[in-house]
Amino acid sequence: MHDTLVSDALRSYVSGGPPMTIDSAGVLAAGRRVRTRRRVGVAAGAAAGVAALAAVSVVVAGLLPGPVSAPAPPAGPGWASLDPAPFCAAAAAPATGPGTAPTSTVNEKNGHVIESPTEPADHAAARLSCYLLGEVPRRLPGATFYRDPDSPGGTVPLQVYRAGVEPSFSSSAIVADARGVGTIGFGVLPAYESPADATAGCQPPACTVRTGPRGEVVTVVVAGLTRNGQVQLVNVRVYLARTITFASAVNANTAATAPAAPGEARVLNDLRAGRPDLPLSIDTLIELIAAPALTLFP
Amino acid sequence: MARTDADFTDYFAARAAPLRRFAFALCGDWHTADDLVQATFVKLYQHWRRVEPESLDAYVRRILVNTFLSHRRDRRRETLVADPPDAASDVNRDQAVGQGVDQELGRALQRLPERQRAAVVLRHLEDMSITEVADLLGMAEGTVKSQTARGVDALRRALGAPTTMKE
Repeated sequence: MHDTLVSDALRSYVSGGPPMTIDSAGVLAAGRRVRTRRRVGVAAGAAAGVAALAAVSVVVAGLLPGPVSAPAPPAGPGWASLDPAPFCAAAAAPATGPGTAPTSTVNEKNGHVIESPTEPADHAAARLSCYLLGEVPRRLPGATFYRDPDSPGGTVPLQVYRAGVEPSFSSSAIVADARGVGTIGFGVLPAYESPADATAGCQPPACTVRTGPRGEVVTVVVAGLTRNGQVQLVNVRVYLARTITFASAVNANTAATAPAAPGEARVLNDLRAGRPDLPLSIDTLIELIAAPALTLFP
Repeated sequence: MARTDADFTDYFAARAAPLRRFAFALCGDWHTADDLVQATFVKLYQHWRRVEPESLDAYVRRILVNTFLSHRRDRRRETLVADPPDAASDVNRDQAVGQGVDQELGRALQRLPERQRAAVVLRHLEDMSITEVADLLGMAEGTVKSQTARGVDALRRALGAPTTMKE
């Protein structure tokens, strides 16, 4: 007997969801790449024979994507050092911009009450920039920072800016050092879900729950492959009181790959690894964004 | 007449969304679902000109299920969108993930063993017959019946419904 209740519940369960991150052009391009690689591999194997297998493997491996070939340097000027002083000075001055009245909204998804910070956005951005421009370069000695072209014009790498209509803030940079090129990004948002909901929604293998240095709930999503030469991405969220902080690191220059369409996010499969490892480790990302300095409610 | 890349694009446009919902039911994560659908279509592309039109949907569904099962076996990480700086879209994604979702059902579904979950989803979401599910999963029909019944019982418990319905 067919179970209508379960069928209906399953249909409800799979309805909605975020926009699809793949499209036919990307899939077609990936399919062609695989086909080309297979043809190259077959042709090389047939010509060289079993005795030359090792040599053929090297040739074929050289055709695969990876950081074996030197990645192209990021476009635009690079900053060998970042100066947090102007932002710290602005953050230390009294907040003079238009503030926000203390309001709250209810997250329709989960009923969580989202509190809006009252600090003027410019002041908050300066305060958060002061922290990130001071702390992140310290953990990347010898690195050169490049502006992420997706960030607003006139900003420096890692400078925090207000993102979207919500009172949330973003910051990012392309990072180049002796290991290669990667991208890091940070976000600070009013808490839109509880740590308990975040824990429940974090399911392995992609997502794991950790505990932050002060007992905070931390979720870590790892994507991509850890094999050398493959693109890896990690997204970390720390659930501070009333604030969720977000950090992301990818071992690729995301700016080097155009999104499938303007405004769309880039697909991991389309990125090319620019270094063998992430620019910042997961532990370092957690340490950075678990700092009380990143709260939206100072 | 041989099918072309344009045909492939048309087929993707028609089938990607339902396959994504099917993949989400299997894996419980939209990003992994996208990854599974992408891997499925990339594999399909390798055989695109040779697959019989009348068996195309079944063939694609089989690729996706096999990809899901092998994906779980080797515990490869799912493909995500590299969206490090965009906190706004991060909020939207998280808000969107749960829209219309019965979290209890989702959790119960993800607790089922993988092949049992696949049987339940194929049977009750994809509306496949027991014979078709048995063929796709390489199980005996009796096994499909018993596995599906157990899975449905678990889901009904999660939904707070009496567990009296059987295959």
